[in-house]
Amino acid sequence: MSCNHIQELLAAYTENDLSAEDKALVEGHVQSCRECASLLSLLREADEALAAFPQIDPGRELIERLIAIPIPKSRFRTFFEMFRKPSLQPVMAAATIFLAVLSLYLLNPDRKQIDKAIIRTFHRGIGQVEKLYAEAGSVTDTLGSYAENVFVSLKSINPLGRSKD
Amino acid sequence: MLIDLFSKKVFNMAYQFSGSYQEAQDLTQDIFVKLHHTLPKYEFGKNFTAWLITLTKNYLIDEYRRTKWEKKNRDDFDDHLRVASSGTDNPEDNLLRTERQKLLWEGLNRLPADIRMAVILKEIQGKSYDETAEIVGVPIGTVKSRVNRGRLQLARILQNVKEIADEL
Repeated sequence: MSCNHIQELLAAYTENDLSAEDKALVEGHVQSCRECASLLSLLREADEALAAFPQIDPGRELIERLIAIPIPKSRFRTFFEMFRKPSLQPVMAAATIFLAVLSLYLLNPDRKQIDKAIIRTFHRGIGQVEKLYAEAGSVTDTLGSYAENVFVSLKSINPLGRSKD
Repeated sequence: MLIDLFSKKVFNMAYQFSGSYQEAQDLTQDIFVKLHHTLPKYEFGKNFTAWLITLTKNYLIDEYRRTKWEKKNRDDFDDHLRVASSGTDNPEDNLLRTERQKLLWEGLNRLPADIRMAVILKEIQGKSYDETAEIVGVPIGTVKSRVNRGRLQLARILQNVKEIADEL
């Protein structure tokens, strides 16, 4: 068996990760091959040295740089901050008042009475609008006959008060 | 909080992988910036350390592919690591181990990025094969193969140095 093939098995051998057949092959070879036996020994030494590899402190300067990293704003934070804009404050105040009135209405135990009052006021309002509309109609009829005279007299007015000569 | 708990781990991974103290500082900063941005994607209940190490590994490999660090030299072991190197009570053993660590530190640069990362995670950071496979995102058999190839390559570096020393 060639040294190269055995050496490929050495790392797995140190971890007891070989089949019984390969294990016997490696053990038989290293007994008679100084180079492979030396490599096996160095493999174990390398493992031990790597496991004891020093872990160093990152240093004060790096820690300060890490602390200075700005934390990005989350989407929710940005969403809520939108409502804190000064230009939106009157809208927010109006919305708050509306919601307060709405909650007073919805949570009121005499809600049916309020509903009746609203309907009554609404119908009274419609009645008044109808009355106003009818009155407005009669006014335009009355104005109709005078309208032509009004336009003629308006045209004859000189806004600067000077004569045409 | 995150900085206190994880900056040392992230920095050491970056340093062991890149080999440059300055580069590792910049990489650690970049990784923490990325961490802040990707934190909302973290699923609660998952292992946070493993999640962060995976993020670190992905960033280091991506940066390696983008900038090709293998062309650069690693810092000298004595610059930062010798002082931090702890050992047993026996000064001779300490010296031998430190000399080996120095050779291995330089040897890490000769490993391809995937193998280097697997060796760092398994052998230096002390992760299990299962954890390493999860972080690297490959089957456990592939991780074992990468780690074993890396270990063998590093042992051969030690062997070459030993042979040269024996000849002198």
